[in-house]
Amino acid sequence: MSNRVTIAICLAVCLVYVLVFFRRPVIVGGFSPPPFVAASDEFSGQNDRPLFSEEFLPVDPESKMAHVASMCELSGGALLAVWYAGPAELNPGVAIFGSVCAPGRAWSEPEVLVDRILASRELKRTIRKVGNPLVWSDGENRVYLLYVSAIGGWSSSSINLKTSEDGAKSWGPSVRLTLSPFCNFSELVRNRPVALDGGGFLVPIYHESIGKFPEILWLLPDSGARGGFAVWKTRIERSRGFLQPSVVALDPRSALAFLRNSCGPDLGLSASSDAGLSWDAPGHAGLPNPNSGICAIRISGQRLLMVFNDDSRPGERDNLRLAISDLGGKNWVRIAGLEDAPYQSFAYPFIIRTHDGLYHVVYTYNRTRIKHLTFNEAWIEDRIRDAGQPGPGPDNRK
Amino acid sequence: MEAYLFSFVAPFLAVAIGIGALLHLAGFEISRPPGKLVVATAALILVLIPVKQAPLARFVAGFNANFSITLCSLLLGFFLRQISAIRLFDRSALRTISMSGMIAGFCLYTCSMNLAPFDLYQLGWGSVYLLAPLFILTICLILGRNRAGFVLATAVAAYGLRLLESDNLWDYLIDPFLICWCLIFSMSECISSLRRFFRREPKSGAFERI
Repeated sequence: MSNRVTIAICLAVCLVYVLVFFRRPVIVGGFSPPPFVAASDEFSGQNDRPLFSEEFLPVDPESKMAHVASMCELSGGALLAVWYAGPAELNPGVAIFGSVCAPGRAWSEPEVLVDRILASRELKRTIRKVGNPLVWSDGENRVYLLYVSAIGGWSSSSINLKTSEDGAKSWGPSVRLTLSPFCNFSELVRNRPVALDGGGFLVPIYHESIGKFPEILWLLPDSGARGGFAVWKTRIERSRGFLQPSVVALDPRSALAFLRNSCGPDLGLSASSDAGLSWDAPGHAGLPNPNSGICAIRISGQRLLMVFNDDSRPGERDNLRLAISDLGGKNWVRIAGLEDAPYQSFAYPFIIRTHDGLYHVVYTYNRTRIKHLTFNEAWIEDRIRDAGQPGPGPDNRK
Repeated sequence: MEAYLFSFVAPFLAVAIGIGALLHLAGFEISRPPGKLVVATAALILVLIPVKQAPLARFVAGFNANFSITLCSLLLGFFLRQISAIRLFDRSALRTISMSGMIAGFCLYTCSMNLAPFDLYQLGWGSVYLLAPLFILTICLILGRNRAGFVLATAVAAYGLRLLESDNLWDYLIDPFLICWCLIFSMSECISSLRRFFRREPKSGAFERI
């Protein structure tokens, strides 16, 4: 190769790099994520009288197992719940089901949203199992469904995204998100996302293979990207053994992440003050955790509400309780027992607040059914009084 | 669509190399036109054979959909060498790829398993902190007449064109299968170096006689 040829090649390489540099996905300035959509304490109605109701979702009767439910509010106030069900966990016969509850009506018959055959067809590859669906809405007609698909056990899971543009009446094809360098394995999703200013989402996810640790999936709007989002992933550092983060935004820049603990008896807690980009090393949240899923949400009066298994023995999920704390996330007061039955299993709670001020909790009931609870803030205040506790942060309460 | 089509490349080349090796062992001449055609056609048919309702290549994609450009380049080099006189990579390029692949793989996989306080994989989503060192390395290798530089440039160009399903530059550079090859190649290089070293022993004996 003569020197001229070498110089020409170097110039061509420079051109390639320049083009790639300007074509690369720009993750909001590289390292400054957009702030969270400000969490509001204000909502209307349904707060005068305590309200509490419980019901089971209409799980397919042929399914021997139902697990990992999540739900969201659709435009018009309807609720969409999703879960996975089938012969057994990690069985090829498992499918992801969805059911809608329009205001004043009963839950619709569950419909299969994704099974391994549809996922295989849409992703154009072999899929053996599906699971862990997470559904949320942008507040209008667009609804997102993240689910995991696996070729073997959960450690071979990858995350996929489906989008509906018409309020979950029809769904677009699945899009595979590549999030891990090792064959894109071992990425799972479980808890509610946090909306970002500008239309994106921070989705708490976790890695589960040789080690377990929590991560943050950033979905940032990009019309040119597959699935309509530029994808980015960060992780909650120094957090081995913790997983399934439940992230609660406190203000546009700060958030708390409550973490399931697979290596100890206490619930983990990590805080971020830069809109989720970096997180403190996890400490203890002041609640026990029997290596089980939890879900937290911000409620009015500068408080947090947590649904959790109140036990520190690993694997013990025979109760489910509610507790409230101030925004520090460490001063918890147990206010209600939702379930308590020895040798039973109540797991993977998921909580949302709808625009009418109601709280909806769904969780796995004995691994065979999905239970749905509805209550309002008046009921929470009632439970605080009944528990004989003033509740945390009374001075801050509105 | 580009990513879907490109996912056939690595399985096709791997199958073609396998068939070529088998035919060579059986005594067939595959460097002549009929042999080349047979190898390519057989490989194409094999990767398109439906396995569980998807072509074999896509069945493989169930395990790994992102075969790196580096691995594809190596496979192409081996395939061309098998069926023709073209040598895409000389020994120094292969050594560079194997050494840098092992170092990058060790760092990347260690970090991605949360065994380091930072995540290198994060830099693959368009960070200038990965692109800039790669650019310098590419230019250095090309100026040093090392063909590994062309592989790097090709990988970066493929990233610009989004030829893989992944949007992360790391997936265009390395993958677990490439790391396996790097390990095997480096071990074979070590063994042959040791052999050469021990063959030189008599020379030192000659010195002692003097």
